[in-house]
Amino acid sequence: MRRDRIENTPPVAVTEIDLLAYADGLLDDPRRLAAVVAFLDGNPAEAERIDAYIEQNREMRRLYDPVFHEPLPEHFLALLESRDDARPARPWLRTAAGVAALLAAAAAGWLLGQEQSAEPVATVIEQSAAPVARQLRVAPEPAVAAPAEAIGAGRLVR
Amino acid sequence: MDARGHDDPPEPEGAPDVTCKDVTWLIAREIPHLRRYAAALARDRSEADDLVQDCLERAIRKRHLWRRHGSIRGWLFRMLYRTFVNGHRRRVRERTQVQIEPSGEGLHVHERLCEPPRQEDHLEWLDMADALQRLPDGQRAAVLLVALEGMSYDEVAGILDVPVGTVRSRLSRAREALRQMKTRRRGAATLRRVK
Repeated sequence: MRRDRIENTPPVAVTEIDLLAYADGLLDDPRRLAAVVAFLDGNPAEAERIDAYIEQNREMRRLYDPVFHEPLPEHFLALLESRDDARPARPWLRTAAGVAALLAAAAAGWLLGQEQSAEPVATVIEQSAAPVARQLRVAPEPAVAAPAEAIGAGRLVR
Repeated sequence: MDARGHDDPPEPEGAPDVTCKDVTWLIAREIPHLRRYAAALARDRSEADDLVQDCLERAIRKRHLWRRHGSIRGWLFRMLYRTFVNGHRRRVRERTQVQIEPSGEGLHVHERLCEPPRQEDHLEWLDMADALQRLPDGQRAAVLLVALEGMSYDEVAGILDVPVGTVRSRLSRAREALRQMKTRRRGAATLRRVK
């Protein structure tokens, strides 16, 4: 009897924490998720507030994501290299930067894909890997050029 | 590549460079993340680049200590944030020493050094940048980690070195403050247009 009642009523009380987590896409528990959705359906004012929070996240990303894709300043790489007192192992680090840019390209593809049409991330990664692979073979390429190149590739991919 | 990884015996300094090299590689890969966060956290790009630079220097110096701190991103962000907090305290100290401000306005220094592109599209974005700068540092730091890096509240707590409850309350206040600022601004814009 009691069990039935517990199972039939959705007794999840929605808290402010749930709402925040929902806005941040961090609410994994399906029961809480359902409760939040139901709650927002019944509370237009709260729904508006939470929508505003979701939009805040988008705005912050729109505003600062370009920094993510900028070519890395030479002095950052030089800094890492200079402390790498081991061997003259220069190209590998620059490749790391290339990989970072590649991940950036993939992330960009993913984010764009989220907001516009869905573009399979795998394709972006696969195809934008080409320039870095090329760079690996042609070892002492100027590092700073790499990010732009990789990003360009990531963006242009169809 | 030479992935001699995790179960290496503990290495004292002067140990083979392989591990250090791997760590340096991992650090290099995080630079775009650090730059994006720093750009949003600091008041301007030059302060942001200084932050990243300091953070990278420390990270390289301490790279042998990393292992036990979990993800390298968390470790680096923690370092970046601490650098930010320390630098901020220092700046405030310096400023208080230099300027003797009798008025209540005191330390209200407002510099927006990035040259703002004055286009309609960018208007809303600039508002957000401005609004973020008006948040208390701790709130801005928290909300940006969630928004830009998609970090969980626990991760944020680890980076900011505060209890997760504090993270939640900072987020809650930051969200609401940002929303209020935006509403007010929109209200002001409407008024101007009406006039």
